[in-house]
Amino acid sequence: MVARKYLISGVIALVVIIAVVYLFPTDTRRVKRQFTTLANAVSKTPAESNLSMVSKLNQIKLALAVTCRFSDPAHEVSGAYPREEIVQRAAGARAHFSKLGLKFADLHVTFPQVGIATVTTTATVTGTATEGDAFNEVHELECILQKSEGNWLVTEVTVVEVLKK
Amino acid sequence: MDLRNTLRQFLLPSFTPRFLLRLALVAGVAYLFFGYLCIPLRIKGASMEPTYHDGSWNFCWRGAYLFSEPRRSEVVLVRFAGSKVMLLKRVVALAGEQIEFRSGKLCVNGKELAEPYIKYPCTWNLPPRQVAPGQVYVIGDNRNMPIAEHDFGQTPITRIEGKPLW
Repeated sequence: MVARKYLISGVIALVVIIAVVYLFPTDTRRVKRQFTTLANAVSKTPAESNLSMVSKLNQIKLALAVTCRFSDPAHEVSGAYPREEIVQRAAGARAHFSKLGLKFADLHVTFPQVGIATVTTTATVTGTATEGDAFNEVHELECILQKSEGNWLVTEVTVVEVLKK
Repeated sequence: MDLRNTLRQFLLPSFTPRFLLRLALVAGVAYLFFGYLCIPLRIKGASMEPTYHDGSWNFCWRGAYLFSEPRRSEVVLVRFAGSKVMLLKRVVALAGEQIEFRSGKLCVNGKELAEPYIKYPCTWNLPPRQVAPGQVYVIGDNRNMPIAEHDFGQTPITRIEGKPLW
């Protein structure tokens, strides 16, 4: 009887801990969740409907700051772009693929100051082009996110140049 | 009879506390050794052919550069993204040295470098450039492809994780 009481208390304590973690996430968890949302929004299945596509593009838009800096030194790309333009480009890029997957791994989140998060992560993009060619790219990214009205928005993305010719 | 018992005990051990402790110790040591010191890796791509083949297995020995820095001609593993994706390349020039390609010949500080490990023809041309402090210049052994398609260049020494075990 006593053992049963302890067991029930333990289960309740576990449920409470899980609920607290889930309902009151830390900023690190919120930032990581934002990357999961972004990965899901960029990913595409062959049977994706137009409605789903619009919803996903909207999710991408909501994860970005009004203006977002992007730089890829290896391809000499650098600049600040309005989020509408980024979403437009993302829609164009997604159209080239019948299947697309984006995964963020090794997420390392730090907070250099209040309301700012820097994230280092490994982005793996896999997919199949509409012509049937397979696509597989891995890059290390350095991102800066800013907290705005409770949401962590991506303000800067830099593709780490590991080898400089 | 003793041998039979020992063999039986080895193959079908009884789960005594002592055995479980030994098992946990072996598992812990294996996790630390293969997770942090000698990481198993699978080679993908042909940039190090014919020295290392696409699809082959090896280990990244991380203890290699604990007390020394990479030297010329050594094959190293460069951390590319996160902790799981690495590039297998050969160090061809060190910090402060000048590197260039002249009709497929690799020149360091203006002198042609002897590279017995290069087995395929190469026609690359690359203007001279200096390796920055704290960096090394790495290239794959397979240069029988357009220069734009081969990942090579200078990289910080801090990105070098170790070297292949063989």
